[in-house]
Amino acid sequence: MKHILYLLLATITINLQAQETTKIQPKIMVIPFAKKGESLRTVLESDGLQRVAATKAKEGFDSRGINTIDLRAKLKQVSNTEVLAEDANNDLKSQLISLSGADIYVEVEATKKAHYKGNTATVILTAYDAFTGQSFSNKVATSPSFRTENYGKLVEKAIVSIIEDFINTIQEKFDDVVANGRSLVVDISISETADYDFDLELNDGSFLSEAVEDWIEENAYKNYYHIQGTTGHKMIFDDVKVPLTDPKNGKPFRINRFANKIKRFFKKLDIEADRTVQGGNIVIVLQ
Amino acid sequence: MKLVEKYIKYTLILISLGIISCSTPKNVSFDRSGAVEFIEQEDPQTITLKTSAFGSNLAQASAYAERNAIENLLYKGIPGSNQRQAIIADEIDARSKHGKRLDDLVKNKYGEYLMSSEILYKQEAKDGVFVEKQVKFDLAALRKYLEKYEVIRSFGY
Repeated sequence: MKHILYLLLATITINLQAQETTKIQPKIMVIPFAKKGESLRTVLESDGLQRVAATKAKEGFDSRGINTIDLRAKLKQVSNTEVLAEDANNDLKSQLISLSGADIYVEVEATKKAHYKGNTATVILTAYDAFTGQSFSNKVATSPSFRTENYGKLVEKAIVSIIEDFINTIQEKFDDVVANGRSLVVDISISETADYDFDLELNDGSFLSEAVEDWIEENAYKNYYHIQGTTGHKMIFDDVKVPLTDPKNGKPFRINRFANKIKRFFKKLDIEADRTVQGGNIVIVLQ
Repeated sequence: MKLVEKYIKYTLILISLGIISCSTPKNVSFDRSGAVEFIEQEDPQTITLKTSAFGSNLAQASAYAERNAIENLLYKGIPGSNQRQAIIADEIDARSKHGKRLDDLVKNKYGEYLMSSEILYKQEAKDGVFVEKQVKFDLAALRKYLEKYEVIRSFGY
């Protein structure tokens, strides 16, 4: 009898563990909007209005218990890397986002408008997937009109009026991700030193590009993928859906495993492939 | 004797009429309506609404108005506010999994998240009372409660 009870307890425990799903909270970074040629650091340090807007937006996430990556700390980290070119201001944003480890970045833009009847501030919030560039949420709000020079306060009012709705819209997109999979970008290119291209005819008579596309379709979650473009030496799949959790064990789906699967696919075709994985970006270079 | 019988008969008829006219009105059941308007949002974590309902008496109408507000917040969202989307995206699915808890929330427990409730207007009618109220909810605490019992997912995947 005792043995039966222990066996039952063990079975229940195993089942409970198998059903446990891991919650994933994506990493979010709030950054001020910077125009082309404008440095993020300059915007943050010199424009008080953008600083207030970014801080209030960050507060909105913090008050929902959502952790955010500190922009200033990351800026400091990025400035210490030798990769950065001082005058490559546009690259700074990309570098910052990729080094930060953020899954989502939120761009905040605040503008002020003076009027004899009363001043206003307008705020635009946009959330992007850090790897695919897909937009998660967009909101714009204008503060009520006041006869005040305190534009920081007006920015605050504008942000308070939309931040919850903004975060709720991001959550809606997450619900879509849970149902339909998360997006990856798969960039497959052929090395310059290789003596073949994507028009290479395989043993079964199909072209290499066709075989690659078939494989992606077969292995994408719910067979959903989108191909941005194909040339003789490059194939870019700008949206390949993968499940959020591994259907075999319910654990978070490992993108590195997917990348290795791609590598093994090419190995079966006697093609060596180098793979690089950075967040949701997979880069495959065929040798 | 005949006079006494007549007197008793008329007295009984009068008493019956009195009882009928003094009887309590029929009980009015709750019926959710869309009559919930956004008033203001002092900060992202609270929301003030105007709501209305009809009940058999003031207490019932008042409770129904509050229930109307919380149900609209949970299942429909409030247009023009910072809570345009419903807190619970799929009412039917949520009710099938957490019916008892949600039922208890909208009938009783919502009071824990009701920061203030004020009657703006009331109108007594023959069969009940119509009331309009201004109510303020603690959205953050309400959301935490729903997340704790997995009625809604916390932020993220």
